[in-house]
Amino acid sequence: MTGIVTKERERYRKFFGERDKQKDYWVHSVCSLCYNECANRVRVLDGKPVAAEGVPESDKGAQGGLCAKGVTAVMDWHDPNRILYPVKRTNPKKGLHEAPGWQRITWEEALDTIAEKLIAARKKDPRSTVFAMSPGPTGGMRANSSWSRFIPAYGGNSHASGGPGTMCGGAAHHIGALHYAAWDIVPDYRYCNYVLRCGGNEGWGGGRNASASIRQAAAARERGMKMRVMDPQGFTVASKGEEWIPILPATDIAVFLAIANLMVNEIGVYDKEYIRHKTNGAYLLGPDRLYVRDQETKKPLIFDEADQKLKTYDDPTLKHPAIEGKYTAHGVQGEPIFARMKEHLKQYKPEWAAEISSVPADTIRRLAKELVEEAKIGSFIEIDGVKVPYRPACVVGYKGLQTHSNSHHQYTAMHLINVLLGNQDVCGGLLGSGTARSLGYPETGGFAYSAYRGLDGILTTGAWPVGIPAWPPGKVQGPGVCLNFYDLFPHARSNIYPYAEDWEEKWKKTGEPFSPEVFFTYGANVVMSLLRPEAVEKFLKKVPFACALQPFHNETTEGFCDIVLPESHFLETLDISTGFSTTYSYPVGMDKWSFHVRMPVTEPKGEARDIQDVMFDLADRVGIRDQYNAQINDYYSFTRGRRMGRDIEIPLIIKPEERITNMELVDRVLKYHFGPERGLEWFRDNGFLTWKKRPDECYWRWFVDARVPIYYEEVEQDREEQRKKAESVGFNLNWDYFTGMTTYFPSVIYTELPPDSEYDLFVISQRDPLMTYRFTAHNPFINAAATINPYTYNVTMNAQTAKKKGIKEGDTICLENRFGDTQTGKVKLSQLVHPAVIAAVGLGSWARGTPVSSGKGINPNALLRQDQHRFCPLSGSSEPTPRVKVYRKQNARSTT
Amino acid sequence: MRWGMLINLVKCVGCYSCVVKCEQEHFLPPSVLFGRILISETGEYPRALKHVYPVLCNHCKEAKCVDACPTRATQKREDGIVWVDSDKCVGCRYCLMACPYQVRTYYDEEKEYYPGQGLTEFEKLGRQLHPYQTGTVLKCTFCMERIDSGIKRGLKPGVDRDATPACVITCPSKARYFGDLDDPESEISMLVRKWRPVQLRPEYGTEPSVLYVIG
Repeated sequence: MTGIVTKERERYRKFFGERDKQKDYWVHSVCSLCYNECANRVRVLDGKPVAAEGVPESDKGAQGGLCAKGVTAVMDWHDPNRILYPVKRTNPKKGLHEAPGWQRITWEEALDTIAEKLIAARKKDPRSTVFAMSPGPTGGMRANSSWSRFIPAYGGNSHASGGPGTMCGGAAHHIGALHYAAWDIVPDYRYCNYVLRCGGNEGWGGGRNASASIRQAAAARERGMKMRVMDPQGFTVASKGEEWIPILPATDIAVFLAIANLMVNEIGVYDKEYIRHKTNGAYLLGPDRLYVRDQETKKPLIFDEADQKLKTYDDPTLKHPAIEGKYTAHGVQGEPIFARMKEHLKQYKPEWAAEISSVPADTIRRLAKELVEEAKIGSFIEIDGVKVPYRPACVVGYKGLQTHSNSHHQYTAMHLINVLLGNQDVCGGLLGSGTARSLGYPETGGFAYSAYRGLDGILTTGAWPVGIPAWPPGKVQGPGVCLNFYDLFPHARSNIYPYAEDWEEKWKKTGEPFSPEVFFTYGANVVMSLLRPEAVEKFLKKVPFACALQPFHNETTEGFCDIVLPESHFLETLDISTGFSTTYSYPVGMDKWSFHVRMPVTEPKGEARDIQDVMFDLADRVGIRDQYNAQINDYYSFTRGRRMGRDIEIPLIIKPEERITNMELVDRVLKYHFGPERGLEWFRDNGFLTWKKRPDECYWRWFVDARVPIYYEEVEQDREEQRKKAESVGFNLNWDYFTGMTTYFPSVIYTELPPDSEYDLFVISQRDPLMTYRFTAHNPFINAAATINPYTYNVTMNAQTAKKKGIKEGDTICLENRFGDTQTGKVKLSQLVHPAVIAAVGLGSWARGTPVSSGKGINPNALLRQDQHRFCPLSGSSEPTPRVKVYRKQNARSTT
Repeated sequence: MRWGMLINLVKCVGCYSCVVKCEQEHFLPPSVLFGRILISETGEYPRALKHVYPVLCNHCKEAKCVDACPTRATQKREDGIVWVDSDKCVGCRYCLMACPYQVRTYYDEEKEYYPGQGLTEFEKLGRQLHPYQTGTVLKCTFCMERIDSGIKRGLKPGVDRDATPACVITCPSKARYFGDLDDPESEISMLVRKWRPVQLRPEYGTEPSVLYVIG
């Protein structure tokens, strides 16, 4: 065994050895098989994990329950296909389906080789190392902390999405930050009475806070909460609602704008006070589509109706901001943004929306009426002695809703309704996925942070899982600064480049200031998760050296990696990052604060190592340890959320020059927040901490003086410069899309082909409660359940549409796009799918390292050819919906 | 004393946790499941419904499988649990045919969870703790080992997790309840009165001990 590993095992045994000597013991830890990171407890019998359960005393998860994935995680630990030693590729050929010819090497050789490549690339240009990550099988927050913080320390900025963002929450996270200071949104199930759910399965098994939401939503349904589900398919979360409203993919925007129009211009009931005081709806907008600003301070101006004066947004005498009328400031005529929006919305009529979406106009009118009635605008409720607004209705959605080429406008249209209802982070309404404000652990005051008012008075995140905040906005730069053109599109950090079909021609036009030299991936499977594998192959073949840190092989490591490092399974991992997912996946509403540490239940197998120690090692070898320590310190001290825009000193948990291990880091972070008595030893012996949440924490909205945007002025600021720079490298976009006013734009799926095209079906990829990406698919227990679930491995098609095409239940069918790319699978006929839609879970693996999942299901991404027209330049979201024709395949074999 | 289970289908989301937790708890061999989820659709687009029924052995009061068993391998305990003594089972499968709910499995062949890659430590441990015999019938036992060992330790099935069936404690929706149907003060009995659950196929006259709230 390598020297590095021997030392780590000695440290492990010194600390956990007594515990591990027991024949039969349980350990409190944290699951990592989806973003929820539920609390779990794991049974170890004769040194082997054999069972996993939930934790009834904790609110992080299902209060004792645990989903199928979490339960079966123990089987992954036993998987004979785990990577247990560093390996290098002996087959020099790279490509899809190539056998890598893995040869075991030592950690020293592996790290020396990788460091040498990183140093050389950094010397040429730090941007020539491409980082691709995804929250993988060892946890969502690991990717955001230990891994991602290496990148700014290294000095690079070359992100190539591993899947998240562009194929997931591109708009959701950016807008989530601006509106909720959180990564995502969840209804306040404890008090909510009405949910209109669109394109997302949270509350049923998918999405953020998965198990916690299952529990909370189930209790809400039992209490009588109503749920309408607007979705192209009705066999997932819609099956738990009173009504399924079929809709064409990516057309929710039309329905939302029509509802907003009805609320504002017909029904006339909406939360005016919320708009006045909590949004930029009161800011004056000039004819140039920019804020009218105070000439001296440059702050946006508001007209105060109380004393008929113009004031800046932060004037302490501001009483009654106008949201209608016209006002002149230093010769510039402006009107409140809300007034302009009200007029703008008039064009969006229910009949128009019905034509686009296939949702009947009467249904749209009814939904608007129901939302307004159920929201009880103007009402209050007392929670634990604290009076807070009460708005028990909301509109919510996630991936299926906003991962489209019209993502930004689609998602902001949904939140416009929530703004009009005044339900953001108040009782019964829509909450950030966690809690954006913590007044601290009562005994020590540690673990405190808050969202705050930032530039232009806009809400700014306090605790934030990724390094780059959503606010203040990035500035347009380049071209040639970022490999994935993030310089040109500063809010689209995670986008489909450099894998897209048109990347190379555009990159050439930048003058290619650097070339990708190293591809370093963690947790991701880029070959399968983004678009057709051939496009990813084309890019990866250009990169001379590729390496990965993973617990299992996949199509990417086998096809393209030169070295793969064995990451410890999450059951072998000591991980503090999971406790810091406070705005990512913490239990929402008045659920208890529940702080957990992912504790190893056994010693790591083979030579598998914890990512934090690996990244410390690499940082040492590359010579960036000081910078990396500073990043880690920033992460775990909640620096931004404690500074809140002010200049205050934050003590150091870890000094730049210190060479500590992961175990020491965890101990220090715990003591920093929870006191000297509650370090790692305390958590090893006691499990976790809970404390009561306060209403002014979870319903923080009216306790933090900040505003959310209903108009995105930053989009307008650099338009001309952005257009010039982008066009210079060949981006010919619809520049009207770059508007701060939420506006109807169709998804490209309705414009790239004529309406009567033979490619008449839209492929959507629904979440399945058994699957997280593809990495749960190779678990045999999951496979056993998936085999009896009719929707997991099959392609689901509307029964009437199938009949017209001569397709019968169980037929093998071929899905083919206009380029001739195909996927073949077995069909399940359903009454719960829109006639124009075909649904399939993202599977279709072929990797040798995951034999259980090989050959099962299809990969809808293999039908995607992406380019500049198939992504949202404001959020980075891809358009994941291919258009296909479908036919029976005689004598077919399945998959690719 | 009659153990029973209540499953609230308004709360259940069909996540399969109950199915796999049972597999894990009992170290079941591949292709053997004690619990399953039956899924169907009724109606026509767009007015269609999806039905999700987690099913397991109903531990029927009038168990047809007990009547059908020629060797008395299938037996009913005093507390209502129906179980199979594998040493007496000859694998005739009359019970499979007699059971109207198709919740029994004939275990025909030993397999590996990772075919061709040998047995994992989990499977080896499982074979020591639960030496299932090929050629016999396997089925849900309401986790009678948990119930019996729990009661010995003074725990209450349906209340204390360690004495309660694994499928009940794992459910993230808290859709499952367990207890003594003969005790009017038990939680399950109170919920039966409140929610008025139904049995599957009451016309078979089997008197199942598993009840469903269908909303």
